[in-house]
Amino acid sequence: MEVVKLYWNLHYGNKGQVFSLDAVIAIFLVMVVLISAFFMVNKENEENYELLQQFNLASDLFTVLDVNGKLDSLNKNSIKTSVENILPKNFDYSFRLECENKIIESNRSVSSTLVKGERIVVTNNLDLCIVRYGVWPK
Amino acid sequence: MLPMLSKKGQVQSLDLFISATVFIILLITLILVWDNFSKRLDTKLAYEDLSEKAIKITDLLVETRGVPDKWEDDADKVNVIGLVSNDRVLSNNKIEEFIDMEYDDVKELFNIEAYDFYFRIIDSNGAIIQVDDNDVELGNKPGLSSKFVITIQRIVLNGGSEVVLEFTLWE
Repeated sequence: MEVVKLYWNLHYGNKGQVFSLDAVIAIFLVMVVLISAFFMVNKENEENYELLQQFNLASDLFTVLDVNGKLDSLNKNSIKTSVENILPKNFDYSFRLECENKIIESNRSVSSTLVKGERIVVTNNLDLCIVRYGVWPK
Repeated sequence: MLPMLSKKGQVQSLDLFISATVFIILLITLILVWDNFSKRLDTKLAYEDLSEKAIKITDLLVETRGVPDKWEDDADKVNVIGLVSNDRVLSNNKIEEFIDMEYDDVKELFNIEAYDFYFRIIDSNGAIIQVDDNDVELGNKPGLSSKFVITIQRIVLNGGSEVVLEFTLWE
């Protein structure tokens, strides 16, 4: 019996531990690969499309305001009212209109928004301005 | 020596059994997870294709006059459909011709034969606008069984008023 026990310990004890470690590492690696793949595939696929939608919305909004002459007044409240009349209610916005002698800015800074664009505007008084804008979902 | 050999054999069988069980469990898990991933990936690719097409089509509609420039004079010879006379300013003549076109012809021009679409222009109250006493809408609305549906909204001007051009692409 002693001989058997000795034989057992000597030949299988260490050997078993080596295999276990090997298996643990293998399972760990498989899990890492699976979890990484899961996050890659699960990553929100609407993200890019949503951002593009927001960009188009902002671009349409300020193009329409420019073409309709709603930016010509260079009046912050008037422009804000026009924006709020057109922009869907579930979106918020910011803009900064920089003209040669005047700067109009909405309450929130454009630089803090994720989706932003700019457009050169010539008012009916021939003021050359740049409007920088951004929209985001509320 | 014989009893020792016998016990050695039993241990090896147990070891083999455990490892085979673990291997089979892992293999089944891997197959199930792989199948799930591949379905998600297919969905993602289909959705991206649909989104890309819908966005490009609406870009063409609201930012270009179409090809040829005055395609509304002879709609049979249109190569690219555009609905504006200037950037984001709708042309009623182009809209009129567009909503009179055959649904399948429009799908072919948009290169979306594999999908269906629904197009409409609504005012700020959500009502479909009219041009020449006709509702500005074309195509088939998606149903509850539609697999993928994507709607793109663009703000445009029609006769000095802001309206929303809505294009829904679905499968």
